[in-house]
Amino acid sequence: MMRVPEPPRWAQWIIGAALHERHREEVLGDLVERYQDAWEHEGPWRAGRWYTWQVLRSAGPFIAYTLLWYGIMIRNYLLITWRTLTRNKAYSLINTIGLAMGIAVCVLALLYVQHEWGYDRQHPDADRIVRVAYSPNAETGYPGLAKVPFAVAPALEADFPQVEETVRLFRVGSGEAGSHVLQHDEDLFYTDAFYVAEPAFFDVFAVEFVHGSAQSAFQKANSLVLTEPMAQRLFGDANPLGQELIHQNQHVLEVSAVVTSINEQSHLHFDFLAPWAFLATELYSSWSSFEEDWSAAFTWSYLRLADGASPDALEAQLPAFIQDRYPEEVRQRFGDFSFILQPITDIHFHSHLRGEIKANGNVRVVYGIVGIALLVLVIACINFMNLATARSLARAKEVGVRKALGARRGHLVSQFLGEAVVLSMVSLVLALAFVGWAASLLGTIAGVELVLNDVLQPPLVIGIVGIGLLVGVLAGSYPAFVLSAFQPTEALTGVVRQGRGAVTLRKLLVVVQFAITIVFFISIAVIQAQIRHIHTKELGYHTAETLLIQRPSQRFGEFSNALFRDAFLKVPDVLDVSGGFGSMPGEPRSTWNYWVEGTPREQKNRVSTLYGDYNIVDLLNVDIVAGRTFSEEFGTDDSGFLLNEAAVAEFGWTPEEALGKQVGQFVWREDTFSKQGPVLGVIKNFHYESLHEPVKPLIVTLTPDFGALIVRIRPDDRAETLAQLRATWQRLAPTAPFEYTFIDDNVAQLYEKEQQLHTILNALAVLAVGIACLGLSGLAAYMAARRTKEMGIRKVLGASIAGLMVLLCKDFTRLVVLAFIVAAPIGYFVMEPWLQGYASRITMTPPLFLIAGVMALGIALLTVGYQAFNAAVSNPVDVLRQE
Amino acid sequence: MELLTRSEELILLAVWNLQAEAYGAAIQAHLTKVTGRDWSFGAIYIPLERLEARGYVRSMKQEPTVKRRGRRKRYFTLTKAGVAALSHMRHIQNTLWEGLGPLALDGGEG
Repeated sequence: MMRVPEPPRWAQWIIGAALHERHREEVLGDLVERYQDAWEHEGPWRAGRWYTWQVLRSAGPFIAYTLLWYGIMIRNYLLITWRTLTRNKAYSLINTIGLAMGIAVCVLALLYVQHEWGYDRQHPDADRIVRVAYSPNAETGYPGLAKVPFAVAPALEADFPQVEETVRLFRVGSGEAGSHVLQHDEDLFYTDAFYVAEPAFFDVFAVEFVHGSAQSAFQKANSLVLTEPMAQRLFGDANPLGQELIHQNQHVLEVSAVVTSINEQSHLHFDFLAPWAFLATELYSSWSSFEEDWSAAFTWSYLRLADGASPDALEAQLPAFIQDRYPEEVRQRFGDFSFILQPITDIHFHSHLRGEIKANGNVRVVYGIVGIALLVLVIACINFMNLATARSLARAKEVGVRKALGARRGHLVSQFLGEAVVLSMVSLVLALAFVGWAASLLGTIAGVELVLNDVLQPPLVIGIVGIGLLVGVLAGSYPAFVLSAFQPTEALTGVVRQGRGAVTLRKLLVVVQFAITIVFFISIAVIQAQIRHIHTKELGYHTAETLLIQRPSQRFGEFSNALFRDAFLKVPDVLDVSGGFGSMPGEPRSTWNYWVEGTPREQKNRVSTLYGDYNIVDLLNVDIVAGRTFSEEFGTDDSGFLLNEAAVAEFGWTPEEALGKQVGQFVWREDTFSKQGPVLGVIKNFHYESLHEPVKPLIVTLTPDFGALIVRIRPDDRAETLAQLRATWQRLAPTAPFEYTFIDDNVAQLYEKEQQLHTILNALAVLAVGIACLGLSGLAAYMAARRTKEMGIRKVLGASIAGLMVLLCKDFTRLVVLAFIVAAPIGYFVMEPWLQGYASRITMTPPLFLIAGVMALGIALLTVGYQAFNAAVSNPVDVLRQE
Repeated sequence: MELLTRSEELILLAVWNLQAEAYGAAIQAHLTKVTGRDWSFGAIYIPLERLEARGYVRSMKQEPTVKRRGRRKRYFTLTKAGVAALSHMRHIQNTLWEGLGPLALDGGEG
């Protein structure tokens, strides 16, 4: 038996790949045949060459032909798919919109995450920039401090060669309350975002110049850089360069540049930026040695490390640096402390030290949003799959016919898959359109700017398309693989025995969908209850109709509380006037060191402090538990203190015991007392901070003429009262701006995040419900359609419409109840940790859960009921005739 | 009626010539012998697919043989339309050549 020679393997492989299956076999065969002919006549070597040459010549044309053929195939599939979809408009529409919404939600969440993740990454070499901060100490409970003394950064730059560049940032006006004023022509306004920075700022941080440049920005000691929004607000569309602004009624500043604001995507937040020279020559002109100070942590200090330098290595060397450089007495005073180097890109999520520039973000919120978005996507996908499956079963006949006509299973599979994928791609397009619209909407809710351009980044686009494809494939795979396996006969006769497994799967999907929806409802109910609790809970002091007016600073003249009180009390509807500072919503947190009787003389207890006028306790309507409040009758009251219940408990006394105990107020950073006196009274705990935290100890010390003015007015005709107050103010302090807030507004602001959360969750829940209902409706329609014959017969036998509807709904009711049973514990476990973040919280009672469940059931019944009604009222004659 | 290209005409003629033996390898061998050029299979199969789409040939698949390592053969035959197309080309050819003597380098008759 002669060995049948074989052409070179690799050449066969090439031509085999290039050929379309229509003629692959015969062409390969022909080639082998002629190869063997050549082999016989010309020998193996020539034959091999002939074969190779044939392959090389033909490969190109064959590939082109194959591709063309595939193209035609795809075009045909698309055509068929298109016709199929347009014939079932309702189904296509429902399914597409449902999936589109799910994908849109996911995309929006991804955009949000991308935005948050991008904080501080816009700076060149952002991975080399670190911030020097005082490290938190878990043992002592020291929370750390984001600022360090002035001398630190220059010393680091000098001592360590791997520190390439340093930038110090200083916020002006952080110490005094209500004193930071800028004036342009006649306009007076406040700012709390006025900073001073070293020239290297523009080198290290990426800032875009709208007017001016980095060179001209800090040219003179009184140059001033504005952000674009500020320039717009102050000067409108006019050119701001060269314009003058008067700072604190004293210094004249000249606008030298305008930059785009980076506040949106950076932990930095400034509206005005003045040169470091301004600090030296003007603000600190009386403190010439401030650059050598090692004790006052006033500046945020940033280092840019050299390429390749390791922050950890540098951080390890810092303890030695502290030993070397910090003066002995400072180290003695502060005890043990250390530095940490925070990568600038980490600050937004992970830094929660004292003295941050602004409140930083929370990683968990980001995770939470991503999690929720994924959930919504899951619901949408389940829906899509459910509906696609239900739909395709209705096409069993079509499948049977095509199989009988010889369609190969592979074709059917790819056609069903193709349909599902096309549908999901259309959903994708819809989703993107929806995202574009919603992005601007979300901007107002969550205060986040999402630009549509962000969407078109390659990684995101790939991700989105990937999701669409995946969903399409998953959705199409069930009908594709299960349907195409049917035998033609059973498919044709319409007797499609759906496997037990399939029905159960579908029911399971519905349960999952509704379970997720119910969890949403539960969360919203709980959050709503907690918010209501926050609003109605007795805070322990009177916040309504109470104004905080920022006292004009010394620069505008001498003002005493008495002056204002007399003037304001003349305004009708003003009930009382007092003064106060610290420890109130709208006022900065204020703590101080105290000594109390019964503890060692050197022991400094840090306690929250409220500085107030004589009548502050009365004005705020805080109850007195023991003793009395300040009174002008007793001339010595200015050395007395009031404590709240928590403070009293902290020091181990009962309120009665506390009266008369001595308390000493330490002088800043020293061991002597600025004030010492007895406890005059004990006041009831009131929530001067947010309800997230338990009421902390509070000491009230008498300091009239300090802090903001607190005015209680009558609720009637607020606008008129305010106008009169403003007029009075202008008489007394014409150069100082009249800026006020209402305490209850300030309180509400503490809970801004909760409101946002509530709003977002509401929106998401509506979406989730919408999607779930779409799915349920499609499913219900299908189920009802399947049982039309049964309905027809029952009707003929005398069943009522109502009875038929109940019959159809029973099944679904059971599913929703099951979903509820699953969802309730999940909802509990999700909301419990959230509630634990509040010192004052509601308990989750059964009614909350039941409401959620009942709502879900109601919606489900409405949805299914409509379909059931349709089925129930159909004419039995039409139905039975279908046979 | 559309004209056939030269290659198409040659291929169709080969199919006709080979009668019941008109399958891929045979067509290629025949054309190679007649034209003296080694025909590529791409240049044969792809035009044949097109011709089949236009209805000038039809194809049938046959049993595999040992010689071809177990791969089947595909036989081609002319359809009526194919025959008509060929005749048409022949007619055109004849008309064009009519009255022209044998071609000679000097262009003269003879």
